[in-house]
Amino acid sequence: MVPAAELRSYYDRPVIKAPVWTWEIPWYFFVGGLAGASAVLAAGARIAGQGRLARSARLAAGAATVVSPALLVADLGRPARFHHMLRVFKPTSPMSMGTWVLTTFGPAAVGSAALAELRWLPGLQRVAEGVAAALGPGMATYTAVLFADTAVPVWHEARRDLPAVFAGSAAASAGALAAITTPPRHAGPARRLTLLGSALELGAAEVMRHRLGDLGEPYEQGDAGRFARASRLLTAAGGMLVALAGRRGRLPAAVGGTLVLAGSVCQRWAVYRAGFASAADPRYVVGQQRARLRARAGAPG
Amino acid sequence: MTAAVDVPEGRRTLPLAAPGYEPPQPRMAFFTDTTVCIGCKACEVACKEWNDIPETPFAWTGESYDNTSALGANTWRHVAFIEQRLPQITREAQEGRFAAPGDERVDLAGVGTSGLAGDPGAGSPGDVGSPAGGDIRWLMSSDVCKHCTTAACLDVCPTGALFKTEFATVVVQPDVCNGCGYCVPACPYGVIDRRPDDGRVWKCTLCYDRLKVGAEPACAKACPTDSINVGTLEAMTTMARERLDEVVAAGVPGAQLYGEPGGNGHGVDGTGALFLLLDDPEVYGLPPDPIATTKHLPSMWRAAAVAGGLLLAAVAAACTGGRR
Amino acid sequence: MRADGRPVSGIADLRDDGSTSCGCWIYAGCYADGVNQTRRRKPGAEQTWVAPEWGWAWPANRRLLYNRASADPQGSPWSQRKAYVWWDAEAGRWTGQDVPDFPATLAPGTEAEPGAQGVDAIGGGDPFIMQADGKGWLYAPTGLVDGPLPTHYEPHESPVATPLDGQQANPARVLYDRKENAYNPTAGEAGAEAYPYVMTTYRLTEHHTAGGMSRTLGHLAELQPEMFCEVGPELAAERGLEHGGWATIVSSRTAIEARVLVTDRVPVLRVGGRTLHQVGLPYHWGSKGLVTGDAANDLFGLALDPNVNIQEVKAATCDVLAGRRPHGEALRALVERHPSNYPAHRRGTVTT
Ligand code: SF4
Ligand code: SF4
Repeated sequence: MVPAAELRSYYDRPVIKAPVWTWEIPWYFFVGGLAGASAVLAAGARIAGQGRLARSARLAAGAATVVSPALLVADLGRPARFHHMLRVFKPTSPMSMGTWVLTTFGPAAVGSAALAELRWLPGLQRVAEGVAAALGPGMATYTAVLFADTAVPVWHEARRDLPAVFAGSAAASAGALAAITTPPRHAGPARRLTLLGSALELGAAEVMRHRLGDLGEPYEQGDAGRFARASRLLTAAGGMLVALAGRRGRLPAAVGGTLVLAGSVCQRWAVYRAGFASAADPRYVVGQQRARLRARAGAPG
Repeated sequence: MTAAVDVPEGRRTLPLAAPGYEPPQPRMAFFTDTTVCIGCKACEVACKEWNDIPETPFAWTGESYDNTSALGANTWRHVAFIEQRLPQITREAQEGRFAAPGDERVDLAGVGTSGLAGDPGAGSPGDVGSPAGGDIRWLMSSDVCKHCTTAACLDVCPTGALFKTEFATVVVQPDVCNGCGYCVPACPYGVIDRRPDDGRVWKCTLCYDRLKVGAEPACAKACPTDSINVGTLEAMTTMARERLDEVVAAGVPGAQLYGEPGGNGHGVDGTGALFLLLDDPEVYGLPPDPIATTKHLPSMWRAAAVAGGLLLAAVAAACTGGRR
Repeated sequence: MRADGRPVSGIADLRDDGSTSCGCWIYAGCYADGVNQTRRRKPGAEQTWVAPEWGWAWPANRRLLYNRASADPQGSPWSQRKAYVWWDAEAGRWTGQDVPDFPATLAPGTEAEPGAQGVDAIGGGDPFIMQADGKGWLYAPTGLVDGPLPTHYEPHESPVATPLDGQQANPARVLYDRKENAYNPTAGEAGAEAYPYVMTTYRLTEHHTAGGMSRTLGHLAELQPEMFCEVGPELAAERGLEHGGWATIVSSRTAIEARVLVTDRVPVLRVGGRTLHQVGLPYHWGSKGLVTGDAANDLFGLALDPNVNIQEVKAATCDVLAGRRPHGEALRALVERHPSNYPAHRRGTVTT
């Protein structure tokens, strides 16, 4: 990136608009990721014959799914028109795709949990569970594409890595919640998922920041920096605690799991806030574009 | 001077008409020639009057004569004011700072940018002696939605509220928009914005209602210097190139076109709003190399698929290790 | 308005016997037939190119003043293509695209009686009916009190002595010897150095005159929302003015405050071997409206030009201080700390 002194701007004003989204969005990203990964875990556990764990994950997915649309609708400028999302099916819009994923995933996840609890229609329950599990990864990662498909440099330039960060974060949170809500002797897979998810989240976030280079500056500073640091600490500590001590009793599992959940929340908040900082400062937008122009001019041919 | 519009190699052709409309209409576009803008803001006001736009909060900025600061939900034409020291600009031109041509001979006659405080050529009798004052140029430029060929705002809109009109302009349908706000950070030019008390997004419509009845947009109608021109994209491109030649021939430093598909408009496949600028785009608050990020969607979905696969793999691995 | 409440249909209906009332004669007729004529919005395509039925123009819905000048002395249009108002010999009256701005039946070729007064002194070939002789003037042969030819004078308040001749300011200017109209000492007088800067006023495109009308309109108020002063970087450094901060501008009349816009557009002048800083003051603010602020006019004294009696608001002297101004008694005290030359030196025509 060009040194700040050489970059010019219009009275330091932003070149692009920062999002108008509010607190519901990072929370939705967390809750939606938790729901998606939990649905996958539910199916996985059931296939592995671990009914107790499958039940926890199924209930987690169902509950998280109930909260998700409320958060989304609340963030709209015109909440009463939320159904206008269902007018179109638009592959160029990650939000449209996400809406359809959620509209299909939601009833499946909630239906699966409800039918299983009520022991009704086991055939249909399996179908619902399968649908939810199939769409679960979509729930966990489409939100990363949603952010990446904007002019916000710190999001768009992380487009290759952001989905992995979100997938890891979602897996970690699903594992953590299941580890909290499942008796330790049934929760082995949950603990392992917590560990794997945390590792993926931390690793991918590291790669992302590294590849962003100077553009990743917002992750070091201000609000986003604080959330990023908190997320690293909480996820690492919680992941270790769950993995090492989670089998010994519910308390360490609960403490460790809570830390991982908090770390996952902080991760989304870090990404969310970094986007605002990145959009607000014309240095990022202009610097990155100038660099791109220079690279193109310098490229052979 | 060619009338056809160049298209960068390997790109899809630049549509000169909107697809899917019968009978086809020629694509309409703005050409804003900032070299003749006098900063009267008639365009800003005419736009607000015609489109019944509420005012922005009253805030004096001290940024020359600009107090509306940027395009937004309540400002669809925005006039920027930039004060520059001429000696510095001339030096920079000599050093080859500007992306586009413009030779170092400074003769500002006839292009409306001669400094208020003394024309370097005029030989004022030693009265204007300030090293800092004097010899300045005052750039004014009326910004507007670019009506991109590949419009990120439209691509990401999940309700279909944003659409391409028969004039190939990009317009929001206020009765459809539900205020999801996705278009706001998607626009690479920072144009579209949500009105807080209304919840929906708003931006320039290129006066869709006026175009429909064959009238020119309100801003162009009000502009007393013809800085704002409206016509078919083809005509505007020709006009812009001819004017650039003129201004370059007059030796104005920094003159460059903004928005051409073969130039800095390539990331959006060309715009429906061309500008003739007298300095690099970022000086006017414009992105130097904007891109409609939806063009990268395939790679983003691929990355999401890989990440989703990792999630599945993690769950599978976790579940195969037994209960404990 | 007639006594019975019916609106008048034009200026001609107004009576001086109390049977009609009118706020301002030029607007008489804007409610003709009880219709708000100014709200008419007939599309241009449905009427003549002059579009007389779009809104209403004072006086008498006339779109161009002195429009009789569009016809030659014989009453035919100078240009058929641009025919606007002409004499209809058959009907014996003026007619055309616009409302003729001329006595309706005053035929071309009519000579005014020698010694006639007012409108009667206008002949059929004299379009400029508001002038005594009905003619357009390029040169004023008589009537200038300080004429016949212009010369350079320094303003009444000037930081420099005139380099031209011994006559510093216009000897025929009109001054008012009143305490509230005290003058700053001018170059060469004791205390002149207390007002080392030159101030000038001007308009911004965004506001109309003193802003009384435009400051009530949101779309204009937002464009220039606050009173400011424009100074060069050198003056800002000399007086410690901060860009975006506040400055207080002081004259012998009062002091006003304004936001500071430091700009290279205001150059330093070198006059008579000395450096001279200027302060630019847009004069569109006042105490009412959507946006308010101090009025630049308050700073200026009344020193009138002798011909049309316009006060000197383009050039006067002042002092500039950093920060906002005090109010009430403290404001008075601040102004009185600076010297004034009240009672005025009676160099000009002094009116009391
Ligand atoms: S992306 Fe921005 S500039 Fe392009 S059409 Fe949409 S609002 Fe206008
Ligand atoms: S109306 Fe024309 S001259 Fe006036 S500010 Fe707008 S573009 Fe410039």
